[in-house]
Amino acid sequence: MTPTILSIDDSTTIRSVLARLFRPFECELCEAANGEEGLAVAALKRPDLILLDYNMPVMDGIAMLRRLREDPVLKRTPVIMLTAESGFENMATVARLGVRDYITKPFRDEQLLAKVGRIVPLVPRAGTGTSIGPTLPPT
Amino acid sequence: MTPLPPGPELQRMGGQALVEVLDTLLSSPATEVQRVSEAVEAANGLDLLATVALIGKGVSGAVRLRIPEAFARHAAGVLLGAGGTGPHTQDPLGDLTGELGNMVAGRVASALGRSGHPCSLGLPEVVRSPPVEGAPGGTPWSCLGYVIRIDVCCHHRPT
Repeated sequence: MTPTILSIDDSTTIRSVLARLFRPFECELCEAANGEEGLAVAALKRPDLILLDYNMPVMDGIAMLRRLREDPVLKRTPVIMLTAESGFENMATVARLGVRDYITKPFRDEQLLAKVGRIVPLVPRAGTGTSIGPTLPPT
Repeated sequence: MTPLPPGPELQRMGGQALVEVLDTLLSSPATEVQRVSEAVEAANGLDLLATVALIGKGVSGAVRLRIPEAFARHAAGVLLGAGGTGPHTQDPLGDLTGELGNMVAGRVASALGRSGHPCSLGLPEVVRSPPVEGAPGGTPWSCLGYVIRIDVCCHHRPT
């Protein structure tokens, strides 16, 4: 089944970079520009993974994460935090909220793909290229 | 109260952060420039200036990143491929500049945290302006032939 990945970031640059990154793979990528939009999209799409920015207007990543963990349907959704801030206090906070992993911006493509691949399988479109993920179909 | 790093150390943090961000994002080295000719700056057209606030307990400041519009266009091409701009914004170059500023400021905030002054970041603010005549603030760096300026300021504030 094609995984659904939700990227939540106020930067259209980052969302476009992620769209480019995941385009070669069999997955549905959804987007939101802040935590509030992200919750609405997550409720609709039930993503298999959320890539969540830390610092956003309207509702930031921490506030969104707290609301997500209160939702009986969405509370177990894996989250990878994307953040320009890698200070210890921030990381301790997100760890307590059950973030599966985090990555500091800027990131190298292969670094992000490897972290995502540990959570959802990334299968290349049209069967070309190398799959990334813990359980891989034959290529 | 732990003293803040002195001005030159703050600028060094900013430069180091800029070098790391550009290397990771664009695989392009940046080198510090000792002296920039006005002709070089003027030839690059409008500048984009991103300001990101640094917010900590008893400490406040900002990171300012000034890049030529042509450099922003080049960076967009590298990051986003041919066509070079995202579909959902009226100002893709402004957005990219803000994100660059955010990334550089994030690394400066991490460095300040390690020196005993943890900070969080404000949201980036971006404006356009002609290149500043004379001696604009910030340390000049050269990347891919463009002059980029980074300025870090930080001070104790009354609590």
